[in-house]
Amino acid sequence: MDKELSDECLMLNYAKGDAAAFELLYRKHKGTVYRYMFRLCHNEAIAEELFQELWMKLIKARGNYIASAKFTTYLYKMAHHLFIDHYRKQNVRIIEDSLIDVDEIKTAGGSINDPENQLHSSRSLDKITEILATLPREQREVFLLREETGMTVTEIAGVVGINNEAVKSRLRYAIAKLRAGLSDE
Amino acid sequence: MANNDKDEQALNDYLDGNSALSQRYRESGLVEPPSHLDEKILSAATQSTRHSAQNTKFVLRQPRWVKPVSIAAIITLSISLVVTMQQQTGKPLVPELADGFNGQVLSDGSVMSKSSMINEPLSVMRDDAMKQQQQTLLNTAPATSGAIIPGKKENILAVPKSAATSSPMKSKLSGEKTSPQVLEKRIESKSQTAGSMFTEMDTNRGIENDNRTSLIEAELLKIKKICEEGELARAKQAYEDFTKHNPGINADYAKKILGNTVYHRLIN
Repeated sequence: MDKELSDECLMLNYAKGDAAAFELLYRKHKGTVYRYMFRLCHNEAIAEELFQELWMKLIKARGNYIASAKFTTYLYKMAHHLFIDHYRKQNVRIIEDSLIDVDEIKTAGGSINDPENQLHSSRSLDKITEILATLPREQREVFLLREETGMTVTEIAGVVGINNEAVKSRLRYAIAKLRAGLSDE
Repeated sequence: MANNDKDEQALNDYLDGNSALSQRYRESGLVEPPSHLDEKILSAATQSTRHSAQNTKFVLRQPRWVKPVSIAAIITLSISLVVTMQQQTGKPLVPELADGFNGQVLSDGSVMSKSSMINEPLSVMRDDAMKQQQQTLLNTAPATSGAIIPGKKENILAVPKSAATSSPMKSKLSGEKTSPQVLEKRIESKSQTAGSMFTEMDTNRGIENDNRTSLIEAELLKIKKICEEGELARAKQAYEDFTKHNPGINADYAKKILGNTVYHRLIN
């Protein structure tokens, strides 16, 4: 049996010209990256644009990739900067954007496997995404990074560019608000 | 205070993965990117690797022909330049350079070192060039152009073949004395022949000086001849006229041309 290659090895292989390595890497991370983008900006079109831009950037920069850190840290750091750049360019307050359209999420592929739990889950989805959308962008981002990628506090701090305590603080606020919102159900 | 502890506990539970919040979030559904984006990104990645492979091939292929062609072009240009210069100057350029030669081979076979060429005053070098030119002309001169004398500038003179038998060169070599008539003829024809001889040299000033020196010498020899023929008074008169017209003439020079005895007879 072939031993599964690490993300760093796959990226290095792609840098050498192995397109199949990139496909593996892409299929492994595309969902988490897309959800991070989509739930961060609450706009499908912008999320798709940023998602495409991120991977194109990775394709172009493959020659400069050095496996000095985890590939996920490298990838999400790039995604974070793209989002910040977009945010600054558009000069919009994403936090104040309209709340996420639940129907839009459903049509975008948000299927739930267990039919029995569909009602409960869609309610939870409604509620948790609504509350998530009301959080400040900084708190929302650290929560999404933790939930989507399973990064540690230190890794999140590395991606966002802040210290561990600041990450913890943002997470603490985010958890408290989400719990408070869900407890009102 | 109690709230802070509660939040801290909630955070720790969340980070440990024991949070109901995380579970509810995961149940919220897995949103995936649209399939058209997948195709677009994957095709871009594949194309990028193809392009880079082509570029690498091009970069590797480039030196195969560029280097040899460059070297060949440089060699061809250098050789053609040397050959052209050699044809124009008529002197071999390469042997001197190839042997690490630091000087110049003169036409008489002697060698002038580079350092002496640098230190030599320009006038001296010009004299040497003139000497070489004269020697060449003497060796290759046609019958009608007479002869020239290498050595002293004042002796540079050319005469028609009719007077060539008494050319200064030959008379000097054979010890034969030059008659005033021959000298006069030589003076008359000198400007024509000398002019044609040195047209290639930038020595107009030198030619004028040579002409003047030859005239003075001829005049003194003429006076000497008169004196030797016994016409002392006429010779004295001629010498007086000569000194009046040429006040800058050095006595030693006149003595040298006239000879000691004649000179003293003329001035006494």
